[in-house]
Amino acid sequence: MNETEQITDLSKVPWVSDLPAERLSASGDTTGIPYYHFRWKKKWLADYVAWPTTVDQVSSIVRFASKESIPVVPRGGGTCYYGSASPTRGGIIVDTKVMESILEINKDEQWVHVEAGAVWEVLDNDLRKSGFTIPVAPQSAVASTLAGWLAIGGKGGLGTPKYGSMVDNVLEINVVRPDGTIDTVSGDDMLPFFGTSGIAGVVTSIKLKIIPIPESTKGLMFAFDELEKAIDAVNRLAKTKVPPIYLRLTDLEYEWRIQGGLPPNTRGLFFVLVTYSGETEVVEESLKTAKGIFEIGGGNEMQQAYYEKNWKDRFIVEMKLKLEVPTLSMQNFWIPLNLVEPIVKRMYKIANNYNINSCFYLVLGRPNKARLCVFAPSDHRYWMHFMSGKSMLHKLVKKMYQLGGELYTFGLQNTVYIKRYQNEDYKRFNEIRQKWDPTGIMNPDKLTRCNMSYTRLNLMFTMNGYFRRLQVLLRRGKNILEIPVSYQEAVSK
Amino acid sequence: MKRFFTPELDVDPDQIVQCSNCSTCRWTCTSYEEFHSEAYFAGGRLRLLRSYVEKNLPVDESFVKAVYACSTCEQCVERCPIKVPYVRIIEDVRKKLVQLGKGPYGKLHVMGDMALKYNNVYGGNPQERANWVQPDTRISSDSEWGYFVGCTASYKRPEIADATLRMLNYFGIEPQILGADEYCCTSPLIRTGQVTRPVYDKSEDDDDEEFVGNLEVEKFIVHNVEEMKNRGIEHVIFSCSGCYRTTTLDWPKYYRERHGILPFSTQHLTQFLALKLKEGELNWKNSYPETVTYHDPCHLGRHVGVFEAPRQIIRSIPGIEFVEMERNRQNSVCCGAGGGFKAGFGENAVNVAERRLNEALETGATTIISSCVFCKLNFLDAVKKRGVDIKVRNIEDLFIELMGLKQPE
Repeated sequence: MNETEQITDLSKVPWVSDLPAERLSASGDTTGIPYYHFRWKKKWLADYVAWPTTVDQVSSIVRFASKESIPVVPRGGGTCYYGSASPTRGGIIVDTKVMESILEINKDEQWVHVEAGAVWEVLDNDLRKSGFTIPVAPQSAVASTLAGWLAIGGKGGLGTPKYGSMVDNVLEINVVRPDGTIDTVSGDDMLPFFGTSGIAGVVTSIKLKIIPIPESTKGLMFAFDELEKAIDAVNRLAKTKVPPIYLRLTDLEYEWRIQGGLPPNTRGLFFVLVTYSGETEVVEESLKTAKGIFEIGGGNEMQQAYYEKNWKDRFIVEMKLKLEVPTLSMQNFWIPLNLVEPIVKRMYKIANNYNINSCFYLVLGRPNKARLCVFAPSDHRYWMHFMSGKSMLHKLVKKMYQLGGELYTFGLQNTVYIKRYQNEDYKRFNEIRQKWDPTGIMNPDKLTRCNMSYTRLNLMFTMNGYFRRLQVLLRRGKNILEIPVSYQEAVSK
Repeated sequence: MKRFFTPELDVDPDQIVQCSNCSTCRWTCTSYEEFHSEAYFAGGRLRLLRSYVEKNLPVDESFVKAVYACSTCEQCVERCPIKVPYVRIIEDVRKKLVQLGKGPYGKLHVMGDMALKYNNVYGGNPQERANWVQPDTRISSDSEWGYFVGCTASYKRPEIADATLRMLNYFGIEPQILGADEYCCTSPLIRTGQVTRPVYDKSEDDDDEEFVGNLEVEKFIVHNVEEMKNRGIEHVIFSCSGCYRTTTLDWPKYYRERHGILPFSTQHLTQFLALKLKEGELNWKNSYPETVTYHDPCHLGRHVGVFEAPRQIIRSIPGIEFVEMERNRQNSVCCGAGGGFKAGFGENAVNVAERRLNEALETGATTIISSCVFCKLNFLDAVKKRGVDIKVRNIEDLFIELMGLKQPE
């Protein structure tokens, strides 16, 4: 059928499928525990999957959906942990990944116009052939798409301490509005699309800033005995004149699990990895400064080879936790650096009380804010252990809000928290929905409506926490995963 | 550990919960690049598998197609942050689908049918298996060296078998070949899940099916091993990467438990030549003044780990300018012929090969060299059907060409 032709029957569209295998595979995401999350969703399985290849095709399918009041779920890499791209009321999944071409590279003005389904890593590989690279990228750059990171906010990742969030690096976006209108937006008009899970429309292409490949990219890694000192060093480093392109703070369990052990003679429980890029002299100078800050903070320099290994794995470290852990429950916070210490200490304390595992990593953003990723490694087949991890994460969310942070990713699961704690944002999301999508077809239930009541959730996790505590006191709460070094108790003190 | 159980698929949960669906394996996947669907890459298939298992869904054709549209190239395992043994899982699932009578996909069952009836997957006359042997080449009946030819070289690309034999003769080796006693190595059968299944013959007059026999790969393996053992073969040379991979990695699994260790060593011809080069016995007689690139066959490279031997040989050729493709060695792209992909999805396999040949052209190469019968077959199909302007050679082809061993046309 002609792409500009109006769709009247989805079964006649060659780029749309209703085969069970297609619908099932496109309805899931990174979550490893579908049956738990399915409870949050009303109709978790899409009715159709569409693979548009042009803006007109996106427009035609959105127009059709709007006319027939069928939900539309825009989908990028499907790497979000929180069900951003999973249906809750069936409908059509619009898989944007086929739209992945570079449309134009402007070397003079240093931008690239690229279709929104491009994978970050692939785009970077292609740009490097022309002598350029992308200034910022998400931690999941090996799989996530440009529009995917845009839709979750794109705040903390590679390059963000130096070049800012994704919103600072996007010049213009082309979108298909929920009524099927094709539009080009820039400046503040782009804001309704950042961090809103596609409720304002489908982003079809992006004009993104690019930078020449840096002359030098180098870094180092230090280990600290105390969390306070590690965070202090991170804080100082974040305020230096030349910010790093990547700064990551991890704890021992995280580091241990992702690398399957630590180099011999490693002393320390917390690890800071920092990478600079730019002119050779500036990079060398920055490294000296970083080294000085770390040494004053009592850090021990780690082997360069270990840094290199970590730097090489920068895009897959989250997933490497799965080396030993079947189920990853996690929460992402977007918090000022001064809140990291109380939250992490609280996490250790709860984990210790529940006799479960916990670990974290932090990626620096800007300005002086960081994405703190807290994990409850578990195995969902051991229900009590798994739910206790969830319970710990719930408590941490409450603590985080109490201290003044906010969640990094919202998606489906975290909408319950936005409604409860981020009133201004919840109101803003609803205004966006009302303005652009009054019929509510675009990614329904995400950000603007919650299928789960907070009271029920809070009760469930609180009760679970008490029960687990009792289990532990009665010596029945066995930890199913080995903790590499018994350090949590020491840290929580 | 409690097992997930459904009336249809009984899958070990330890296997499917390993994958976190991070999709790191997606954009490099051969079949994703071709089909652009979430159901057609490793992580997507495991997500699909999990959905079918946990939700007790009946196995339908779309699931079977998704499971079989994989060339088992192992690029996903290479990319996977935690190295989920995806190919092993997918081969297990295929095996289960065959047991359920829902697999193999499409016409892939023909390979199994033919293997049972004719001992080769192409349905060629077993007595004509060694018809490729030319009168001016030498084979023996008492050498400790054996040459396992494989079905494809025997019936479809005899020039590869001939070139390999000439190469061995050049180094003074007169190998034994099993001829009509050489059965399929079972690579296509294991890859497509046809490890054991009943074979029926459909009569032409009515719809009645007549039971022909049970296809069991173990019988093929035991037969081949015993034949070589009885003939006193101690070293076996392979020109086919698929046969080499299966003999090296799969045969021991099927043979060892009941019959003991394999009584011979295995060597791919590229390893053999690299050794000759190292020992100073390989002195090229002619030059090849062209820009060439090397395509790593998945079975020889990622599966077995032979990456450098072919490169050493190519680099030693006088006049050659060797260039690497962007994706090489562990990150090499599949040609699209493996894992039953070519047999089940012919046109798609040619598309994959065409893309790989275009990658080769981007390097400025005028020749693409490989060391696998299947890769060459698929590349030549792409050259023929899509008109890609590049010469396709295997290492043994180059060898006989440059050493003046080529038989006159």
